[in-house]
Amino acid sequence: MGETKPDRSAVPDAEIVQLVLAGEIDAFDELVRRTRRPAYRLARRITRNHEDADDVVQESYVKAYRALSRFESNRAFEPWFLTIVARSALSQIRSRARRATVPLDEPGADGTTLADRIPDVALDPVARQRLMDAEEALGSLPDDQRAILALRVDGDLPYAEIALALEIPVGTVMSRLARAREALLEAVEKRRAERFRRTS
Amino acid sequence: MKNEPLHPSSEELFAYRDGEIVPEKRAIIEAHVMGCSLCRSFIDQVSALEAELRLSADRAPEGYLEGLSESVRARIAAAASGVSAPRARADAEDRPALGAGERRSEERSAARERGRVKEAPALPWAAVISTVSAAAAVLVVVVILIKQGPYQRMVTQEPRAKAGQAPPAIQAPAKQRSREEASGGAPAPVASAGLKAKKEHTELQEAPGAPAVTDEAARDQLARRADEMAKNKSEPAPAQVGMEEKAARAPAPEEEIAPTPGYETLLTRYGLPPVWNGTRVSAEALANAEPDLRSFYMSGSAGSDSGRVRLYLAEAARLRYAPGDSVLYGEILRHYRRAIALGGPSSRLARIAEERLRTLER
Repeated sequence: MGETKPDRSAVPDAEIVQLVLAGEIDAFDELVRRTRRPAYRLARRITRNHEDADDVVQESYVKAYRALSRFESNRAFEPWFLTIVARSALSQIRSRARRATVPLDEPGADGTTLADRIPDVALDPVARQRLMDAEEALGSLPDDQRAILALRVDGDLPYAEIALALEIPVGTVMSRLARAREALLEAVEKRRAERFRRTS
Repeated sequence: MKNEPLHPSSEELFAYRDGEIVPEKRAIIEAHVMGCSLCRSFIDQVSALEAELRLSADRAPEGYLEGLSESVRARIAAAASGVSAPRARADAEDRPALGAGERRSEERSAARERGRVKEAPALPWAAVISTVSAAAAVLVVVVILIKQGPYQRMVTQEPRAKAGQAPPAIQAPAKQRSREEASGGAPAPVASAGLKAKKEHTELQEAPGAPAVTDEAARDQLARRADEMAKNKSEPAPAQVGMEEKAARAPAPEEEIAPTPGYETLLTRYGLPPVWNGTRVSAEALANAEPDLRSFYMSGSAGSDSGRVRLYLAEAARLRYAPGDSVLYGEILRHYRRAIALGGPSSRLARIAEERLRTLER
């Protein structure tokens, strides 16, 4: 079917939301197109596997679609949507009876290893190892620390949005984020020190 | 000697770095960071680490993001059947579920997606469980009474008393009963089997064109014929036959839902039914289909078939599973759980997945 979709790439989020609310359901595709990458990235970072991340992302779009009339037009769609993704992802990991105990470098359900998931940006082995250290260190953190870091680092959300997503005061976001960053730094340094000891 | 100025807290340093520090503190922190190599180094270390994490962020499988819009559209269509435009929902809608009710909440959320449950009030679970337990206890007592107690004697004696002699048909359900007792099955519907045999006996006597039964020998002959007919029909019991026929005629709800074209293509290719079924799906077909089912799921095209695909993936993984394999166990568990949640409470898909999950040895 040769039906061409109108190019809405330059249309502001708020206008697209109005189009969807007016019944142009197809316009929602544009919102999906704009946010799918950060949404998946955030969901995957929190859930730590593709299948759960996929469920979370799709579920979040359905929730966002239903709640679209509550979207405030003076906000950007992405941070608003990412808070929904974060809530869904947190709900998903909390409801998981058995936490992801699969080591990050073992193939996940999608058959990929951590090394596979690190992009080939012509990295030398040392830089590649540093990335893996960072990933492993992040993966070793407790869920709540990993989640808040994902919201800030991957979601690039301001503190106020993180507070909304986690339903905590902004002051608590500040302190939790600081603890999580300190823990991350410590975990990475520990890994690097161990490697240094082994190789020297 | 003047004391060294105190370092700002890490909260303040990070808030400064993130541009989230309150304006009145900004100048003070900035002045400190400019002059303190320790704090600068701390901020730089964390910044470098976060840059690395951004660089290595998990990538989606090939083609997944491109197919996402379609999957989302399918999910929304399934969820909003009957709803043409989005509407405001309760604030709780997009809040993460918390605490012990999370699984129920997840199921409710999945059901809501399909428009089956709309803001169903939470049930008082303690009361429901106790009521169900009481009902189950009463049922057990009734079953025992039917099997062993006076009800059975009443049922088996009643036709005898009315027909004037024991219709042979009564013996057949008794055999069947003992078979079912041995297999632990549900008690046979003795009353209906006996009554049916009695009815057939009467029908034979009353059939148009049948010779009038005038003597004992003719009555015996009719009784023997009734016995044979009852024997032929006693397995399975009439009530069971009715149920099975009904089940065979009426497809299960999940099978009524037309598979999406992509899913249907896969089903046809491997000769699979829409919903996994232990008796209809061979291990070989399942093993052959698994890679394609997985790719189909990973491409994000499964949409409204996600639950059914998840059940298939669980069963396919089970073919390779041996107790003690914690990695595979986790994968299977996840597949079943999602199938249950996506199928919705009391759906056939959820029932199958729950039953299969119960038999999964850790």
